[in-house]
Amino acid sequence: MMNAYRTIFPILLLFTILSLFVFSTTAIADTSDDTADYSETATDDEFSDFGDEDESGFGEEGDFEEGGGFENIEIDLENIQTSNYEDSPFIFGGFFKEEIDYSHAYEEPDFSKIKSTLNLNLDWKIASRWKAKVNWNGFYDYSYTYRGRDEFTDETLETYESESEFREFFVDGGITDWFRIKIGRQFIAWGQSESSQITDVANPRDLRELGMVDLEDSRIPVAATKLSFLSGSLELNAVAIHEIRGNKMPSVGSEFDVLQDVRMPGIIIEDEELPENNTENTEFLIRLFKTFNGGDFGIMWADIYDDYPHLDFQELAVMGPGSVLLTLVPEHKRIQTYGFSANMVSGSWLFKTEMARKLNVAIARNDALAQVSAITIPGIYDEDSNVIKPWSEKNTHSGMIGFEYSGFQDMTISLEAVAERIEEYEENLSSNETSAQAVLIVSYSALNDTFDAQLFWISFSDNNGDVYRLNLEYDIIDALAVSGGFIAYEANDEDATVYNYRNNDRVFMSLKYSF
Amino acid sequence: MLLRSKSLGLLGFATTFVLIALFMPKIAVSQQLTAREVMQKVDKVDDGETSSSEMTMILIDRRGNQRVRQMKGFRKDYGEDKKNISFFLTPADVRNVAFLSYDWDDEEKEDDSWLYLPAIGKPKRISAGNKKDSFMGSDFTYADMNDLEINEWDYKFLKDSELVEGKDCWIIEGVPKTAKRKKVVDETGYLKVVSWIRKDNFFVVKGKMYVKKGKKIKYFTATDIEQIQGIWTAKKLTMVTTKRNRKEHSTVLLFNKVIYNQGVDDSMFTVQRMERGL
Repeated sequence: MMNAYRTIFPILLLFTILSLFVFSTTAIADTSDDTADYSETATDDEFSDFGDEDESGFGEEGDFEEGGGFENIEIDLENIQTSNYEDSPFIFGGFFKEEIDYSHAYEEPDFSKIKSTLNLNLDWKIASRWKAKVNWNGFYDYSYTYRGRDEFTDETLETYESESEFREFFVDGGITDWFRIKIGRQFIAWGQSESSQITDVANPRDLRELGMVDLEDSRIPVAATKLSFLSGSLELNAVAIHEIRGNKMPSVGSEFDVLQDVRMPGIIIEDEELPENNTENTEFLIRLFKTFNGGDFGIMWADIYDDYPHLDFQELAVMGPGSVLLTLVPEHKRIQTYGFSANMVSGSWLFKTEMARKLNVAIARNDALAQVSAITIPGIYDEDSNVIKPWSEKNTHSGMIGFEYSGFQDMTISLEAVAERIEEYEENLSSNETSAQAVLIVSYSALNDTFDAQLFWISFSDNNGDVYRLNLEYDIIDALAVSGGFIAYEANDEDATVYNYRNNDRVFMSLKYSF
Repeated sequence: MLLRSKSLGLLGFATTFVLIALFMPKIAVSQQLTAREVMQKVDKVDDGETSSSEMTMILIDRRGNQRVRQMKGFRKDYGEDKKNISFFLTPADVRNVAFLSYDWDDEEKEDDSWLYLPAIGKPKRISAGNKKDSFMGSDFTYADMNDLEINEWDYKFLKDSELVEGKDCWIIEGVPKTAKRKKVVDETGYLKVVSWIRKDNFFVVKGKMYVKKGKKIKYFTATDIEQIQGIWTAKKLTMVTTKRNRKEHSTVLLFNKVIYNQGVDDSMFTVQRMERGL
């Protein structure tokens, strides 16, 4: 069934786009008009179907009288609920969301998410140049109780069942127009890519469910001090991150566990170790950003901990002849990054790129078990001096080129090609010298923005699989939105990145109430 | 806006006109001015060096259901160039969304636009192709909120005189110039625009836009017109989208607390200010 997606998806993509046109108030026949030859001036034919009184083909269906479109719509202001945003320095808001996912590809299909999320937000305008914000987010996923908590590891329950955290907690302001300081837990969003972290490296990411988390929800906030110096279209940012956080990774025993292939008898993987939050471990980032006519440009430098953990050696114990116990621990390595990002508009096209070089990155090796075998030969093994080296330190190049096309009304098509290359590549590395992925996003709005559709297609290079996601959302009223869709994982190669997730396909729906 | 962008002022909301021809015999003006010259006067009328205002946007679907948005906007002129920024205040799901645009007078320069969505956390540049899209679900497009590109349109009088609310108006038809037709239609979505322009103050009081996609007609109306600080201002704008004489959707913009020429700092019109909010 999974293999069929590769064939079916392009057809599905085309069908969906066409369906969206139909769903909107515009007929498919009208869309063909968009591609008409513009070399001539408007002809009478172009106006023939407008049904206007002043043009040919008028008045067949409608109920307007002459000049009916120029009606004076009376608005009863008494019945319009407006904000008192100027009356109080405090603005309180938030949302409640209920999500249900159904994993139909399980051996025994079942609900994989019955999640209630509450988000509370308080904005406080302290003074004309100063403001503060507190945003708290918490969720509880009832599906684990529903399916039986005994069926899951403690780590899975800890990672997925519930969470409570302050996503933002900061004070922001300045004493002049050219200087601004923002202190507290915050998001620092840089770069152009919507799918990859190339220069956008300040915030870790939520990677607990591959392909399921939207960009806006994927960033993990960090406590930081951000200084901004402004001069016209030029902005200089200097950031010190005081809170060292890593990516939120799938837990052991969870369906998206990235270490499934490493977990085997004789190997223990300890809990992740994060660097302490102290002055020695403070992360630093600098960015220079400029807007100019037709485009934006930014250069950046960062000295940070890699948000993605690597497995480091902790202990090797020989339990007996042919029996060893290797203990590894996920750790975060200090790395340096420098790079640039840019975009440029031309008509309906937005071209974008990001490039970065990352120094001292820990790349996993594929010969850790061979090292174990070599040093545990009786007579050679010395538990005090022998260590296993499960990773190598390398520099990498990362790059993204892409575009957004918005020539179709209410539709944007975005394509990003992302590649990473390891410098001074060695055969004992578990990654390929060059890896790549392409991300296609088709976004469509209709019914005066009350209906939105998004199609995602992530394709990993070297036959590492594909992820497809369709998300449809409809605003029943401003405050209440219902959405639904599906996500599918496809991989044929057993070594593929996505192969272990091939049975994790889901259909999902949610209801969100904003207040 | 194609009808007369100053009447929206790109969410600077300055709905303004100076009585350039106030003391001129109206018939004489009509005889002297070509349709293009009228549109140039529409485009050049002083709407204040700066403006700020609050706006309530009411979106009305075909069943009469209403959705309400509140915004605050600022505009500043830099010679012939204009910069505008607007912030959404309500409802909750669009709170703190901001829209910034630089409207360059030089035709060789592409206008610059950014949209800031708090959920994304960074300003996103918008290409020209987005300009024909609906502005936040309304019947107004991003193009409606940019200044008039007169040199890209051909104009002619459809009628020399018609009374609108008791005021004498010209009716002028604009169609994209042949050489720029694809560009203009791609960017605006409009095949033709008909404008009712008051002779006493060059104020566009009505308009009819022929939308290429869906073959729809949009009807624009400016009402509650009054002088604020000596500048003509429409405090209510209406846009009704129809297809084959059936109303599909309407948007009403109500302006409040309109203030002209009281200075707006340059730092207001930056992408950094979008992130910072009001």
